[in-house]
Amino acid sequence: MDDPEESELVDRLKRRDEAAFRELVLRYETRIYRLVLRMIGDPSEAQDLAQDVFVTVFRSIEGFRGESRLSTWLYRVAANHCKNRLKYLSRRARGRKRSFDEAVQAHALDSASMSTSANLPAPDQVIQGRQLEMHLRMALEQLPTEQRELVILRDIEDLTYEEIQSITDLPAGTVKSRLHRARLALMQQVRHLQGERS
Amino acid sequence: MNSAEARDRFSDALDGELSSEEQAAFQTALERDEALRSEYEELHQLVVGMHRLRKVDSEVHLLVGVQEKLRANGRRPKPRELLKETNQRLLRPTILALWLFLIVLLVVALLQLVELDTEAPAEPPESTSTMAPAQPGVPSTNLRSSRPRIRDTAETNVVSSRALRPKAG
Repeated sequence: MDDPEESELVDRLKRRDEAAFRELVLRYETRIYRLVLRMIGDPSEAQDLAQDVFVTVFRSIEGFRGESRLSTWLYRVAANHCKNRLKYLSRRARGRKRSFDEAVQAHALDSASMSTSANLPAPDQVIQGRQLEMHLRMALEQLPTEQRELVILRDIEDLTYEEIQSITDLPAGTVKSRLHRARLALMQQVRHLQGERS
Repeated sequence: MNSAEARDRFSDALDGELSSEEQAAFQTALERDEALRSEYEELHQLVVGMHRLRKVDSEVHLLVGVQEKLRANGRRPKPRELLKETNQRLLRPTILALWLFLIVLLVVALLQLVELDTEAPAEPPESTSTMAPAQPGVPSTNLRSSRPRIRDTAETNVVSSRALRPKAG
């Protein structure tokens, strides 16, 4: 942790400075919420879980030794919370609120209501548009948790491989190979969704 | 680099992890194979499209919720306090009942021991002459009285056989 500002923030957090904690939440809430939302898929569940992440951080800030960046540590706490919540939800059979077929059907209905749905755009135009975003969201939800986590951290959050290794505790080779497989799976899934739509 | 090798390096190419030589070989492979190139383009656009997901639909404000959760957790009684509270309501009578039960058990066990002690077999008396020989046909009342009786009978038999033996000289 080389950033002096971040180091000072951590010191203040360890002293239980309430203003520091407010600063931490305001600084990282969007990133943490985004990660949790993409992992969990449900906005209200994601909001609740993101709050839990900050509560955990507040309670266990003494355990932060400064070996990594504060943001990396926060992502790590958030990723662990997501995995635990997903396990819990799958045990409760609530993990997927919609099955894949239901999601495709809902997406088709949603697309039908869009103004551009009368003229199917070409694939390169689709990629620029809202449909691709929807396809990607849906395809992302279909990925296994471990692959989803890597795609989110690398392609959405734009983290480096070193940061991802630190968050996931995986070796570099595993991160790369798993990410490669995840991207290919995502591409297959998007193709499938586009095929369903056309 | 053939097409299969190039396909395996898609992610490396997207992440800019290829060296200049590898990049050149990769480009050559793409130019040779139309299908491979379109597949790479598709993946590239997909990764670019993933950045769109950085945008979340609504702004998020977690601070109030986090503070409420922290306050709620702060108000939550600690385990010791919970124990104290439970102790006043439930634990104390339960422990009292357990103590009473243990005392009753102890008393019962002591009574059993005393009874066993009184029933335990005693050592046979030193002098057997005072004891009356066992009466045939009369059942013995307990183990303690029957044991010496058997021995007495045997000794009596020895004495009586000595008495019957004619004296030498």
